[in-house]
Amino acid sequence: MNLWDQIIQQLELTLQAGPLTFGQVRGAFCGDLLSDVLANAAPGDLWITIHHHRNIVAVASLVNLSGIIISNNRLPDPETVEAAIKEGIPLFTTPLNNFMASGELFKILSDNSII
Amino acid sequence: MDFTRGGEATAKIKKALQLVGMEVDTIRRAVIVAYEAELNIVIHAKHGSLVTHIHPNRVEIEAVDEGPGIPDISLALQEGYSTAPPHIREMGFGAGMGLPNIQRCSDELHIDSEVDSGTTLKAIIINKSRGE
Ligand SMILES: Nc1ncnc2c1ncn2[C@@H]1O[C@H](COP(=O)(O)OP(=O)(O)OP(=O)(O)O)[C@@H](O)[C@H]1O
Ligand SMILES: [Mg+2]
Repeated sequence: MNLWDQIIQQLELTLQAGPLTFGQVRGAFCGDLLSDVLANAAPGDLWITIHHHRNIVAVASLVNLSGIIISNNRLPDPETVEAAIKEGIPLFTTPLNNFMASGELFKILSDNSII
Repeated sequence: MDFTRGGEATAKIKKALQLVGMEVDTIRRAVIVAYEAELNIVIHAKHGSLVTHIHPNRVEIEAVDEGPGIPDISLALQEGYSTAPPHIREMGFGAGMGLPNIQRCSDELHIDSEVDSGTTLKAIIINKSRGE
């Protein structure tokens, strides 16, 4: 199974918006302070957050993140979906909370020697 | 100003910097400076503008606004200091990290502010080529 498929299955992701082909996942970041994500997430990181407003797409796009996962069954705002389509950023939701989603993602990325 | 559209000015700056082929690290730092300055205008000021000058060896970003101004600039530069209201904090802003981020990412930073009038922020980011 490829990496994205593993992530989608283990984190129970639902795709809310995004391009047909996803970019490469080079790492991950979990955070809910936008200034922290902007300064400390690395290009290619998959970002887990509780936020669902449009600004998360701007941040993800500006620092070239590989995707956004909104945790805890929260749904993206309609403008967030629109922005994700426009920017070509994969946008997912998961029923897992930040901690559980990060734990699952950590396992997958370390099993694949990515982190 | 439409708060949810914050970042659009910065996205344009990023595209321009990529187009002229600035170093990846220069673009990253300029994007952080521009975004934090843009959001500070959107969140804290009434209106303002973001002007970028691109030189072969540096990027200059100037953020000028009309607004409440910053009474104590050295206090505002401290990590964690924020006057952002609760509804802004709920959205993940207002951690008091913006100005420290700007400071960390710029090689030169000048902030001038007048209370009840406005703020001018000018940052210079040197375009260091790899290995320099
Ligand atoms: N353009 C501005 N006009 C008026 N006040 C400002 C401006 N920029 C910053 N400030 C003041 O300085 C404080 C610190 O700014 P800073 O960007 O570091 O944090 P923040 O905007 O509150 O939170 P964050 O940037 O983490 O979302 C602000 O809370 C505000 O009081
Ligand atoms: Mg700020």
